[in-house]
Amino acid sequence: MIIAGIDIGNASTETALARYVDGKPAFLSSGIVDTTGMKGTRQNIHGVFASLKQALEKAELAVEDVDLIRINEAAPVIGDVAMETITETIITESTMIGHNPSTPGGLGIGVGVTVDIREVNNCDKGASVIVIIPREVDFEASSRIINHAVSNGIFVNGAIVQRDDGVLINNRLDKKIPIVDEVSLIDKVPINMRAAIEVAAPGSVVEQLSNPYGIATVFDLNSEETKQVVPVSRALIGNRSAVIIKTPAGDVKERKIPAGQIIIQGTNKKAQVNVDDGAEKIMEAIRSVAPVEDIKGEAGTNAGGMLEKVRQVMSNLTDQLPSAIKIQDLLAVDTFVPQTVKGGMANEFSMENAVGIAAMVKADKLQMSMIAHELEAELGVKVEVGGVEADMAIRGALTTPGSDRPLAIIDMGAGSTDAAIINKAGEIKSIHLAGAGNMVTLLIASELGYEDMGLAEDIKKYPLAKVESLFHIRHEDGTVQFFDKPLDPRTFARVVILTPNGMFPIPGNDSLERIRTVRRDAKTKVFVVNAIRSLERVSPTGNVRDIEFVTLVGGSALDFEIPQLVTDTLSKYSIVAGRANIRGVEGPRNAVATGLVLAYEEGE
Amino acid sequence: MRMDFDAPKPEIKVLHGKNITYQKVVDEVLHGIEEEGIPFSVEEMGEADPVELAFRGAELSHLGVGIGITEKEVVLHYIKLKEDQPIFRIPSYSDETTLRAIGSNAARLVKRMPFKNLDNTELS
Repeated sequence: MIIAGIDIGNASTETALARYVDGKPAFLSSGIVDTTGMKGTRQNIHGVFASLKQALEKAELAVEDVDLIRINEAAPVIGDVAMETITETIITESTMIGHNPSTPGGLGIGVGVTVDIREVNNCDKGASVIVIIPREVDFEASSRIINHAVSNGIFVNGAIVQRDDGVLINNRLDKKIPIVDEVSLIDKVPINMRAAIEVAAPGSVVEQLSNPYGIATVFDLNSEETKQVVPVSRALIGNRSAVIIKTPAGDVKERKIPAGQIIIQGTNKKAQVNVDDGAEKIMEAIRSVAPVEDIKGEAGTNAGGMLEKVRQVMSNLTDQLPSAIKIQDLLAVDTFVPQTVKGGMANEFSMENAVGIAAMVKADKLQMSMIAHELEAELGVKVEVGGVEADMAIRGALTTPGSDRPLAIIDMGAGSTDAAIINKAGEIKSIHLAGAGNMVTLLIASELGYEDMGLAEDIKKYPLAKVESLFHIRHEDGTVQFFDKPLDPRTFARVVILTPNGMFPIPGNDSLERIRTVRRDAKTKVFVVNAIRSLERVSPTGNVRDIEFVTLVGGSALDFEIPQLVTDTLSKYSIVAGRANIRGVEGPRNAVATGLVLAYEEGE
Repeated sequence: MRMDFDAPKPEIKVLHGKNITYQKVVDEVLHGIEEEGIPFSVEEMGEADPVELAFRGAELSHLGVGIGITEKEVVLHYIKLKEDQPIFRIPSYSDETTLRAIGSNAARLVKRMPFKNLDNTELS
């Protein structure tokens, strides 16, 4: 008889097709397609169908030849991710420009009162001014006006320019002044206010204006006012040029948004933890009350909103009341999110603290039997719901050459990280945890400030390189690769993602090192943390060290660096860990589908 | 060929046709280079094809970067490219910003910085 095992995962639907001869399975083919709809919902059927068809085609069989389809009990968990910033910088009254034009003009620091360049000659002799040069005034006119004003005894100590004209103006001045250019929102610069402007030499960064006491020196601030400018100076750190404009009722503040409490209800314990305390404290609390029954956020706070959002999404997907949705696990990760500074003038960012969470809810088991029923009706083939996903995965994983019981697996998917362990006697223990590939994507996107999740997904999946000339790139590891044909000018001098479809330039000015660090940190924060967390929970003694062999399965185990990161960490616990190779041919893919077929043999 | 033993000055070579009526175009391109802070020199040459001019410029430039300007087109060329395949070419009637941007891009080619956008649709 012919059996198809079909595994509906968060990201992909996989099929394993086998023929049973004398009670022994001979595998024929496999199929893999993207999961349609959210896992565990009716929309999955299209994906199941496509995946099955793919496997059948490879084996040159038709649907009618299949005697039995076994689908997974779709580890009744769904993951969702959310992100909330817990600090915010608002600058009111005072304002600043802290962007990084590639070519500011001049050098040094200048202080004066802001004035429109067209009005500068109306200033009193001996006045110290900073001229504002809007788009309408070109560099030739502005340099002429400045030279004229200076010869009339007006101290022009700096210039703020809308166009990319800084160097051109500077080259035409008799007396050099610091010039900040490419200030897009120049009409927001207040006129007749005291301002300080600083341009650092090439290769250096501003020193005076990124130092609160430096600002205090320039503006004669008292200690209380100095405290208030700290967010401004912080936002200016690392820039080559900076402007601060001080208005009389100057008030700059960093506001802390009350993040709220998370309440974790365990089977017999309860814990409360403040989101402000950071991810570590939250994870500690979750560990202390495990097993978790439900997690709630304090109403009316960001934490509450974040968890309720997850609950709402889940309730919509599963057609259950929000109150019936129980969050069973949560992975909290500390992160930084670039947020536009409110009150800035050139879209300055400030890195704000944020906490990202991945939550996992237990879904309804009925959903899978509903899918099984519909499939059966549509295909005319008997469909049954097989065993628990993790149990199946471990059966599949055991087909990896060189593996044997006892064995632990970590199934790193898109929505959840699952672990299971099988002992010598064949007893299986499993666990599902929140946080996997999707969480990594979210962290990458938010830390680098991308709206585009597709870009973050590509950064997660593929290595980076820097295009160093029209003919060569330098890979992350420093190796150089040359090309016969000139590369696309759009990629020139940029960091690119090496996708199978060619190079894709990353917008923005983030360096390769920074993007790489963000990527690897995100993977570590999610997968390495979850690997330890999950093994702790399935280990018979509660100690990770008592597990000897671990194989990694699931889509994220295909990643070019996640398995190494996990293997490396686990080796510190003297665990032999590595990527599985299902049936010796599938790599880390198809474990559950294969397990579903094998479980039939054991009569489960 | 210079006969003294000084190393030639590294500069971007801008070539344009003789008796030009489009000094404004040339100026804007030069401003683009100047803003990026790279030395340049300008010469006129009796040659009508902008790509040819640009390539000649690249050959003459110690940096291997040349710009050819005619009444019709502004072309940016690099010595290591095939003669008939310049990096950028834009019409001479382009607006000031674009003309300046192609000058900036010549300098950025030298500085190894991402190019400015010449058609306002791609990466900035």
